[in-house]
Amino acid sequence: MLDDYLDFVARVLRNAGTPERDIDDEVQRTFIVATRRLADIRPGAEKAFLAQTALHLAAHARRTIARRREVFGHETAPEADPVATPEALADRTRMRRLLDRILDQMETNLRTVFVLYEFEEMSMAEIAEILTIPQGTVASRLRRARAEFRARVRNLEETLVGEEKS
Amino acid sequence: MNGPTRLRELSENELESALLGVGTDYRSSPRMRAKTLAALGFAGSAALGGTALATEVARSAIVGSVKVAKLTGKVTWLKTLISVPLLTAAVAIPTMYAVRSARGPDGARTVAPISSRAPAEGGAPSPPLAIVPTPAAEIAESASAAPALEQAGWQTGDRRRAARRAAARTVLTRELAMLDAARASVASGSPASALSLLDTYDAAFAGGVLRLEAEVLRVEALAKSGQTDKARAHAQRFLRRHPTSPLARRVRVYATASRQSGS
Repeated sequence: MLDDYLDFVARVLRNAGTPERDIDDEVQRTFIVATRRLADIRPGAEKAFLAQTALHLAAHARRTIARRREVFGHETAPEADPVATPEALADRTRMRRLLDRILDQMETNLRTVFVLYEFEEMSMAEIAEILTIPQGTVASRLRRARAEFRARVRNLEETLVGEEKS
Repeated sequence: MNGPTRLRELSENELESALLGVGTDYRSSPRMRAKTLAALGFAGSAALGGTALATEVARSAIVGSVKVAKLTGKVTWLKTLISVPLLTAAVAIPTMYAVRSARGPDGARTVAPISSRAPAEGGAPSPPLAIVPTPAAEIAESASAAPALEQAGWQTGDRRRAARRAAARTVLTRELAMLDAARASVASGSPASALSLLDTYDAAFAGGVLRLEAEVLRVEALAKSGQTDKARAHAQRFLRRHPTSPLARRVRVYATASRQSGS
């Protein structure tokens, strides 16, 4: 049971934008916060609480990165090699980097709903409860998030195919 | 209200599927697990409100019988999770099982492992779950992993990597067991034993994954053994070196000039 919750927390943190190098600490921090606030957690609401905590910590981690970039600047190297070859698709490190890039470009509100729906397979009702927003809002954010995700993936593919041909 | 089909099921685009795949398949590592368990142990003593329960649990573990910590109806799974590190003092823990508690004839709760989680029937609330360690026989799992992998047809490189990972997991398990033993010593009123165990940890696992957790435990043991100045010095050094560590808050109480009471 602990392992399921560990995977869940790690995944939410990571997909919500926590850098890989900070994940160990942020997973630990999530559970520390949870145990500190035990009295506030209703039985049955543990997963929701962990999700809320993880999302909050990930947002904090992302703000820290954004501030660092303001000061030091940040260059994202454009992808030089084609992405849709069998070799590229099997390169999980590269796929992870691309996924991070696509998700980072999404507005946080949309990203969060997308992450919880597509990667955690939560229902819209569960997501509404975790984010304390109406289900209608979840539905509309999900629609926009999915459209944006698909468009960015297509764009990535087409850009590189175009370059390959030229 | 059902939502739309998940993109992963829907997508016919290979790149999209690969991207969704890495997002879904992300897993926690043994390091995350060990660091979290070690941290929950600390939080455990605080959250369980003092050493009475901790002492009982630690004593049971040392005696060798595994007793389920007293559970009230209001306890959530997180509270039972906290008592696990205390239970691991005398046994190494490669895996854990969720168990249902049942009362024996003498009224004491005993535990039995369950292989499946059957849903509670009717309207009865599910009995409280406790997580208890298995006996320590399976440290050898890392040794037995290699032949099993060969049978599964893994390539040599994969086998080597998997063997390395299994070995790393064994080391982590031992690190955690040692820190749990030290924590149990503190909880049962023997901080001197804890400090001795921590010296052994430092020697055996220099640069270990749980070295920060060990340092925090040392601060606590020093404080509980009356070495307040030393505790403060160690605490302040920790905060200088690791100001953003999730453990920093735990250590901060020992770093201030005036002695905190009731911690």
